[in-house]
Amino acid sequence: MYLEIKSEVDMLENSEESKVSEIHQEVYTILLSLGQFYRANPQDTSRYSLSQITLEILSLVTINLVIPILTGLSTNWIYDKTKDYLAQNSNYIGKLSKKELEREIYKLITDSKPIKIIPERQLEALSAIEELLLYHGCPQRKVRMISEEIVSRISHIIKESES
Amino acid sequence: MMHIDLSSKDSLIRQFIRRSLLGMKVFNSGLYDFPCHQTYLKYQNLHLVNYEEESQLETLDSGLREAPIIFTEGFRLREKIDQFFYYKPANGYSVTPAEHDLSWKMFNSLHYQKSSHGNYAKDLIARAIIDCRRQYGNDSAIEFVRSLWSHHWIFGRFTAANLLTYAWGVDSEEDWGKLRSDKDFIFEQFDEIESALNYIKQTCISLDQWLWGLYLIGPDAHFIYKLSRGSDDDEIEKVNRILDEIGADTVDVYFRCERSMLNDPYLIDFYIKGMRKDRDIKDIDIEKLKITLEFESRYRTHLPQYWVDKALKFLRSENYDGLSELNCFNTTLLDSIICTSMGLYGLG
Repeated sequence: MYLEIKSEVDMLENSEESKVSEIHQEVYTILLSLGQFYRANPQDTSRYSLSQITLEILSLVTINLVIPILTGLSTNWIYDKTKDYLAQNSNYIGKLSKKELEREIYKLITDSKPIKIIPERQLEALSAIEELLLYHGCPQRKVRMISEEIVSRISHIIKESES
Repeated sequence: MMHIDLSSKDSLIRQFIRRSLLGMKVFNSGLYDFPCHQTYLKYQNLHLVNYEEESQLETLDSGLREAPIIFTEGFRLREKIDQFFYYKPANGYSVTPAEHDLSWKMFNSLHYQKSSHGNYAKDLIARAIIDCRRQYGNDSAIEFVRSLWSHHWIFGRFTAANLLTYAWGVDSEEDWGKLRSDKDFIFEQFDEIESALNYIKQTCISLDQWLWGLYLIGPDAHFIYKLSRGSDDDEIEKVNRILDEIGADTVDVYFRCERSMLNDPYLIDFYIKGMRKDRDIKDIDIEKLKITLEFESRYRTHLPQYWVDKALKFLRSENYDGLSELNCFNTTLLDSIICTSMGLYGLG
């Protein structure tokens, strides 16, 4: 009996984990097109090749920024880090840990079930992503399209899990 | 509108290879003097060594009838025309493939004869482009340059990019300044190059097509790179940055493929085994590799999608012998592309 219950919990946790991983994968894939424009901040003029890990962290930062806006839920850690991030400290992205970012978004999703998208917040989410991506060098002509794609994909995955 | 037709690539590639071989015959005949062209000669020698499909030498494609032509003085059909050079994109002058080749060979020798502006061939092409533009408009002139590039009349993608400026109507510094300040034009052209590149990445089905596609967009990409270079506008600067990386990645692709001619599994080693050459291919974490390869394919201009898909398919099905397919390409094509892209002085 105990084993069966444990297995159900595991399944539930695995499903949340795979949801986080699916969202991460989707956002990462969308941001791949941004890779060649990436810069640490608007003053950064170096033309370096973006590493895979930086892009992974950027996609996690995006998720940590957007999901709380779209769902109205947050954790203290996400709130503080997002505030720091948006204060636009130079090279702040390099100080973030992939594991921490993954852990917090996973915590947010598992601790606040069921999570729901608040449709009225989509515009707010869009401008938050736009601000973040422009900061990191996204061309103005592309920023709206990329942001819309991210919001749409995250909303879709969360809505799918609601149903 | 840039038109990349990979479906017709086979006949074009054959013509391209054939051109390299014909060129080699001209250059090796000893009739022409070509100083300071060590890079070119190096690749000419490689053609000889690596040429594997001799039957292609005899292939005369019907498409050749639509190839561009610039007649030069001394050409035996000269009596039929009253101009030093001649080109009609819409109602082309009808010549046989042999006559076309003869004209091409005559013309090619001019690449090695210096004029006050560089070389005679470049001067003649510039005049032909300007003439074409005046008679038929910018679009025809641009197509003319692209066609000359794909049929091996121009050497060096930097030279081809310079020649494109004539096709776009740039006759003076003032015209160039006007075009540089036209942000919409730069964005529009950049979008076309980006779409063409994505199209090639997604639709090509062999390394030959991949190399060929990258070769075709080279002059346009370098033209917009030049146009956007040194701009004060941040958005234009972003365009310049990405074109710079596309150019660098393209050269990387050429030389990585060339390296694989020396070391057979090089591409597989480089992209699949990574830095650990001693790693057993069976120990590779396929899901991690998938992320790396997609990164190389989508973010960079290194690998086409078909290559990534095939690599993952072979690894998942444990068909390790199949991986060798990923290293296959026509070495003569690669040499021709490198030789033509790099130009007469090895600088592009």
